[in-house]
Amino acid sequence: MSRTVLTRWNYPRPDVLEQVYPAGKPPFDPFPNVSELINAFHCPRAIYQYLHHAEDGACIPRTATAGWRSGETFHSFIVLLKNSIIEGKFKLGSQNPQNLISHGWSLFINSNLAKNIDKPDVFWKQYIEPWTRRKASELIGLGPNSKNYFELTIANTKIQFKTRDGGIRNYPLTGRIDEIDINRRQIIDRTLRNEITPKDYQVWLLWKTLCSIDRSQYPEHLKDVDFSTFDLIVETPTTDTKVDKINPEFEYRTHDCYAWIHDLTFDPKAVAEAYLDKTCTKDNKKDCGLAWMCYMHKWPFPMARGEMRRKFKDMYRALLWEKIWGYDLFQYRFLSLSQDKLEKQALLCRATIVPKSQRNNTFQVRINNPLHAGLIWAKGTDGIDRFLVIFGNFSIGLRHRATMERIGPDLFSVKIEGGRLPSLFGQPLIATTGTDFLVFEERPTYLITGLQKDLHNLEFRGAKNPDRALGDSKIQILEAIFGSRSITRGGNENNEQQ
Amino acid sequence: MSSSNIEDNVEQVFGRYDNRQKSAVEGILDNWNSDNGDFVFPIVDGPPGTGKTSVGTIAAAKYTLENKHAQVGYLCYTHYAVQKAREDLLSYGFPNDRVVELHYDANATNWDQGIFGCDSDLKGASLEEKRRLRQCSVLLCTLHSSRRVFSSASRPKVIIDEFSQVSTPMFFSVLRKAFAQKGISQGCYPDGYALLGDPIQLPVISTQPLLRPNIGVFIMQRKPHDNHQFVLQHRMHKDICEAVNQLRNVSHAHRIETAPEAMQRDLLHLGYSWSRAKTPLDLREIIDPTKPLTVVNTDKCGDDGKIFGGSVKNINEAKLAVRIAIAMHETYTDTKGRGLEPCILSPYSAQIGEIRQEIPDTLRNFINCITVYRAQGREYPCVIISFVRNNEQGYIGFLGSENEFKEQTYVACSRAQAKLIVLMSFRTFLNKGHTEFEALWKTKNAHIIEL
Repeated sequence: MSRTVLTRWNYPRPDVLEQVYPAGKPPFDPFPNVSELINAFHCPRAIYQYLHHAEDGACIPRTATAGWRSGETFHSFIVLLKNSIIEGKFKLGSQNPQNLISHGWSLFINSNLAKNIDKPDVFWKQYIEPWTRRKASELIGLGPNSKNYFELTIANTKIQFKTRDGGIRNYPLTGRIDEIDINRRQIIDRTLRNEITPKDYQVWLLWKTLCSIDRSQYPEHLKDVDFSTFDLIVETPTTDTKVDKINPEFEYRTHDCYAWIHDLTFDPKAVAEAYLDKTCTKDNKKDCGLAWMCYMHKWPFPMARGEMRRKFKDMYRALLWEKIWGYDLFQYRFLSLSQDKLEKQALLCRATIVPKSQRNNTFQVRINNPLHAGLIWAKGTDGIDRFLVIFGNFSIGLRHRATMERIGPDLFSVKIEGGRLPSLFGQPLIATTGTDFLVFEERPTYLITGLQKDLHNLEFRGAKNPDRALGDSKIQILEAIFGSRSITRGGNENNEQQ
Repeated sequence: MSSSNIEDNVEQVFGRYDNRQKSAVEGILDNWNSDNGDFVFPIVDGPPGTGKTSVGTIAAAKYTLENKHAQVGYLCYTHYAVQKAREDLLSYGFPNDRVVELHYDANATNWDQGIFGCDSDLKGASLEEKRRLRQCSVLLCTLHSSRRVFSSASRPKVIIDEFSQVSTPMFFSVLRKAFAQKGISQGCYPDGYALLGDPIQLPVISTQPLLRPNIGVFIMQRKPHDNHQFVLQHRMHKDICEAVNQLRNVSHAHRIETAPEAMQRDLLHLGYSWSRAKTPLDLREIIDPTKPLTVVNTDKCGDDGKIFGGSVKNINEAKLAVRIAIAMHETYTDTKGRGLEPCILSPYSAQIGEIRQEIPDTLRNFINCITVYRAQGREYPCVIISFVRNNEQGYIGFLGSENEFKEQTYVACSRAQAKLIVLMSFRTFLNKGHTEFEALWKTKNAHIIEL
């Protein structure tokens, strides 16, 4: 799967960074995330699925007993557990900690935080219990002095990777770190699987990104921390594996990954090459979360599927470019332009959290700039009612999607979606030093990625039996739009002349 | 209300329809598999005020009344459109629990108000809730949430409203959602489809030219299609309709006509009385009810300014719009003595933010202020449009792009029933090649005012 190393990654020019009305092919390369690099690392065919928005697939195949993405539930429970212990809400004595945690698990699975768990008892026995047994003493040791940061999103536009010939290339990258434990000096990535590849590559990429961020961008209380000396840990329910930081193979293969991402974004020929270079076959499938996409069965009906696929092919790339203009440029902007400039152009707004206003995931903020307050109000009532709220900054911060509702001239109620927001006023569990945070307008890219997935999925839907296909309006509408079947408008054709 | 009463109400509305509307309703009710082997797929081209949503809801009502246990999935681009369609259906007499809006927020559930919040697969719904959903006649939701309809309904007739905003991928995404995971084995596929909309209203927003054609245009480009074309509008005064026709003409769309009851629909005709004496002198000519279409030159408001990633504002034009709106509210009263509630529209969020901050707190509930995008599907007795752009170079940003100018202006103008006040800088919009704006300015009976 070796690919020619790109001579350079194309960054957006200053005029593009400030471009107001983008259109057509983006004149810059995408801003990949760690999951996309993992897919490319795993298999060219897997990164080809990038066009269908399967960004987080390759490293999270279904496990034998847990559902799709149940690893998130494993991690969410650990975050909740650790946060609760640190905040003092959950007291874990040395006597029978397992029983207490088991009770916490029962409460957790009944909350809306637990997802994709069909058999909680089996999940407990197979994954949570072994993990808590191993970690009991560590958990008991948690307290007000612990410095554990969860789910920090990190990003940088220029991260250096060495080439085989001794050269260096800069690439942008963003990703989310499961946990940073400052006291134990660990960067941790969790998985349910016992196989640590490609999670080892993932945690290594995150560490590279974290170390590449300019120290001036670090939150005040992390400024003196030297992350380059931290251990990289892939944590499974039963083992902790330390990943070697000096790993030339990771460095070299990163160039291949970026080359695939670049080529698939702009060059339709790369799709065929990705097919040829795939690393498994139908009879010899790799352990990959995207195998179902690569080997999905196609039914004989609709017969117009070929024409439909031809049309969809162009749409995938158009949707990807739409996403690059909407979200990737957004990332380049926030990491490249000064905060003053961003604020002046109202690309971001600063807000101050109102003391004692937090109720679970809801709290109040005051928007400092009255012009921005008016604008957020207008956007909020204009159907763009979701915003990206960042505690910290764009280089290192906790990002949440949120809705905002105006409750006073400059006062807004913020409701964080999903997950559980830790106390904003207790221990600094988030990477911010004060109560000042940034509000960004949310780019609705999740709608675009939904379309990518649905189009791709529709390509494989259909029927085997011709009679069933004839009676199915979904198949017949595809035959009518893409095939030979005629379309008529219905109703009384003569009515209008009467 | 009993079924027979609902039927009577539906028949009454249907009876008032013109032949084109009746034909469209019949088209939607037809079986998708026609006798001669064609696929029946009605596309209704309904310009503003021609009653396309009414046609959609009447078709939905008739379908469920004529077919026992039949269900309709009514899909719209916006929540507002969903609510409007639902109000229509309730006005025919359907009880709240038979016309249910499916919402993404599980906490929004309120059966008494006909709202059911759930996840897309109805995983959180109880058996009782699922049973209630199966008994509903019409399930309404936004296109992005349409999976909820296919999880809840059995073989629904699918009606998509305001298709001008529905991109081709979005339509096929809906179709994918109709392929429920067990759909084929259970045989719960949709029982027909229909598209309602005005192809030249607000477009699909995309940076990619390939994605811009809406699904109606996409299908019509692939297959010859004789759509249902409505021509009689019941909303706007004839002078405002003329302005809309000027814009339609630029888009090469067919002319629409004004129904007799709307021909003279100015504010006095709507039952408002106007106190000329109370009106500030400099605004009298602008808000005069005998001039339903007024175009005001705002050159003197000064240059526009940039803010919020390109969204634009013009503080002086915002102040003027607010002054006019306040004067309209304070000098026009209806038969019950309540002030007129005008609506200010602008294509720019920044301008809307500015205008909202200008409106005194005491009047905020009486003066509407929204972007043009938000205004689609709505109507107001009086509309004030602030086009914001004001510069010597005639630069009008995205309003000057191939399609969006026409569509934003077209939608904004066609929201007004009785009074339309357009605020625009003549030095910017006229004689600079912005032909659509010139067409608007040249509209017969347009009252032109220099500040």
